[in-house]
Amino acid sequence: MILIDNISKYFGNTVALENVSCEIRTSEITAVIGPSGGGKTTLLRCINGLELPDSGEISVDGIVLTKKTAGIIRKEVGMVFQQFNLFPHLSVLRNVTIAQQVVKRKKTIEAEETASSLLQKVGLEDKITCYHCQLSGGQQQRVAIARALALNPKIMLFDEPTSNLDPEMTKEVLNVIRNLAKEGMTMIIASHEMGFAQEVANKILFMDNGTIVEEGTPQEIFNSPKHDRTIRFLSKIIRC
Amino acid sequence: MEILVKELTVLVNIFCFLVPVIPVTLKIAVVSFILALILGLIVALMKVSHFGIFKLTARVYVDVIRGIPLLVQIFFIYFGLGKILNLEQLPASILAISICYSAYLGEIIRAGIEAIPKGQVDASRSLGMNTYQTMRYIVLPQAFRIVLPPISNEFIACLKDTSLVSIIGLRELTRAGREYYSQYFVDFETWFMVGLIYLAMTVALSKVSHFIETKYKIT
Repeated sequence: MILIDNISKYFGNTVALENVSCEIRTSEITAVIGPSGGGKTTLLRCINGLELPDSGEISVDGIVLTKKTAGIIRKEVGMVFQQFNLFPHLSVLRNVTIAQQVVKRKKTIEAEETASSLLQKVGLEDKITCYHCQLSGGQQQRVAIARALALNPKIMLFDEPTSNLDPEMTKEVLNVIRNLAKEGMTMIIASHEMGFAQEVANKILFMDNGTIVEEGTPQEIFNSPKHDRTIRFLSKIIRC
Repeated sequence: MEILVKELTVLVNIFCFLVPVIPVTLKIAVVSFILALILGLIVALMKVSHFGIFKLTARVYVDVIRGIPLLVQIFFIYFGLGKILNLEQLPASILAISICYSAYLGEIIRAGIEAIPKGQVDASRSLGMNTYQTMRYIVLPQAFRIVLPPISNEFIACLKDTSLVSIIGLRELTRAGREYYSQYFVDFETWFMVGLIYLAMTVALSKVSHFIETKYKIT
């Protein structure tokens, strides 16, 4: 379970997050939607300790996030980035084994077994010897998902995982996420894929200007949004 | 025809005289450069660290070392420090060259580290790797590939700069050339041959570095 208690984060004079509070329960799938620059990415980066909030508190499974505990929390929380961020100097297999070996001190054979089964799960078992440049965007993102899953995290964070992909590749990545959802993985997904958010999420957070404007079930948010800003945002999306 | 044969004999004589000291030159260059790489890496890591005191120390170090001619540094270390520490010519030479080159290499390595996209560090940290592990497994291996061409440049410069230590009497290639000259007074041939040997070494080195570059290239 993740508890976010009144966090704020500023970059210089820019407000990235302001007094954000929410609770994410185990096995719950939360979709964070809203315009770019609304604070979705910063919220996810804070949960992972990549940014530390300037005020307020985040706790993951009872551990309060600080600079010191960030390392422990990151082993429980996997993250997938918009830019994929695969390690270009390592093969696909090594991308997935490296953290297991370095962080969890697993033996090579054991790490490679885990990696191959994960790569199979994302449909890339035939690409293990490739390098990132030989893969399409969708394949890269699926490797990135396998890489994050390799540490066997309890929670997965997806930061606009399909924003850099064409519709076809988007579908292959969303299918992988959909399968994770079926397995009961706790997930927070920042996304512009409204249809997908509506389909897999149990809860929707609508964020703008660094605050959570509205929060509710997909039915509530998509069918009867209450807040002006939400209505305006959703009407624009549905129209195009 | 006779002149040509005579000339060739002189050149061969000089070459044979110089060959035994080639290893000395190579030894100074290689040992100094390895030390300079280690020192340079430390300088670079200090420069990119989050501690102000490390940053400042590294900056002052680089500015001071880079601002003084290598020849003066050799004099200072051999005649100045050498008197106190009782340094021989060879260790003094290696010390001077490695300190001098560490400043340049430090800057090159720092630029390489800073060229790695921030997303790589984010990804690595999100996988639970700490600062050391991120540097060791993610950032430095990629930075190494970026800085390989400028570093091989520096190595070639370093090899040529070993000629400066001839001035404190260390018998390396240039010094041996001077000895030959003062014995037989053939200036043109002597310095032609000395230059040729340096050239052969540097050309071979650039071939090697080109080979390493292609081998480790990230496509």
